[in-house]
Amino acid sequence: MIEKYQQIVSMLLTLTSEERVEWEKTSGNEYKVNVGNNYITILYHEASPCIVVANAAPDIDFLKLLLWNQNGELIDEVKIEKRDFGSTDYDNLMALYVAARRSYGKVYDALDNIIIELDKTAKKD
Amino acid sequence: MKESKLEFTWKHVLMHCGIVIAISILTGYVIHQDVCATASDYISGVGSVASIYAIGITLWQLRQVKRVAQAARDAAQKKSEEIAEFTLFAEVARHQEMCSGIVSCLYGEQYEAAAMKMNDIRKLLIEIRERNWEYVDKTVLNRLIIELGNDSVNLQNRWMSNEELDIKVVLKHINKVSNTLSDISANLKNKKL
Repeated sequence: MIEKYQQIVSMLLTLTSEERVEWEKTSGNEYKVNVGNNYITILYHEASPCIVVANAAPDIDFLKLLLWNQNGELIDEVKIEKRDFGSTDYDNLMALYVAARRSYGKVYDALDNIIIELDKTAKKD
Repeated sequence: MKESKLEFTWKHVLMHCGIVIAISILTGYVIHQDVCATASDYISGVGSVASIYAIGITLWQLRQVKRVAQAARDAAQKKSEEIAEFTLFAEVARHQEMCSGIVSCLYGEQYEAAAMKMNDIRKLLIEIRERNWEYVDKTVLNRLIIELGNDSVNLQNRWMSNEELDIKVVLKHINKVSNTLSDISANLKNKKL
């Protein structure tokens, strides 16, 4: 992955974990975030299990980081396959995907609420 | 802009001739005060006055021509803008109908056709955004353009490689686009009325 993408992934990961950027769900299996005039989406493709077609390339998991312009045109994309598992790029991109999914789902708020409710229940007893 | 007239009728010719004759008589009278004045002095004096007056009239006419030309240019520009707006009004109405076509395509799983229609609408929205109309919220347009672009790629991915697609999200976006086009159409209509 080119250095600038690595930098963007790292910065987005930090900002997402600090809840300073908000991700939205798109119509595909991806999450998007607006950055100035452009926006970025992150997509995770999960391979279909146990489907083997003769003479066809095996379906494998991959992550994609897509860059869009203000006219809604896809201008670039970076694809990292699971076979690169263990590489820093794949790990960072997966961490960003998970962080984006949690940001969209407001997972940390939900977890906080659950902890408060559980705490209340524990105190009642 | 005030409409300029370039007419130069016989009435004007007679009026200007009268003015020239009057000034010439006045000039002749002034020259006549000089006892040594010869016939050539009278001729050159009156000629000079007539020339200066003619230059004045020519400059005034040139100014009028310029004003008329500018008025014609402005009228042509206004007409051309009106035609462009009328064309766009028709385009907005056509694309608004296209929204219901997209919904049918989505339910009929014709993802490629839906993607193409969405791209058409996206291009129209870009055109509207470039016009900088005060009654169109640019933030809303930007958002719709981005969503449509993303949706068409996702529809193509669904069609080509059976990728995951959340039709509910696409329908929500189409509904938003339809409402926005309806607002733009109403505004254009009001502007014309």
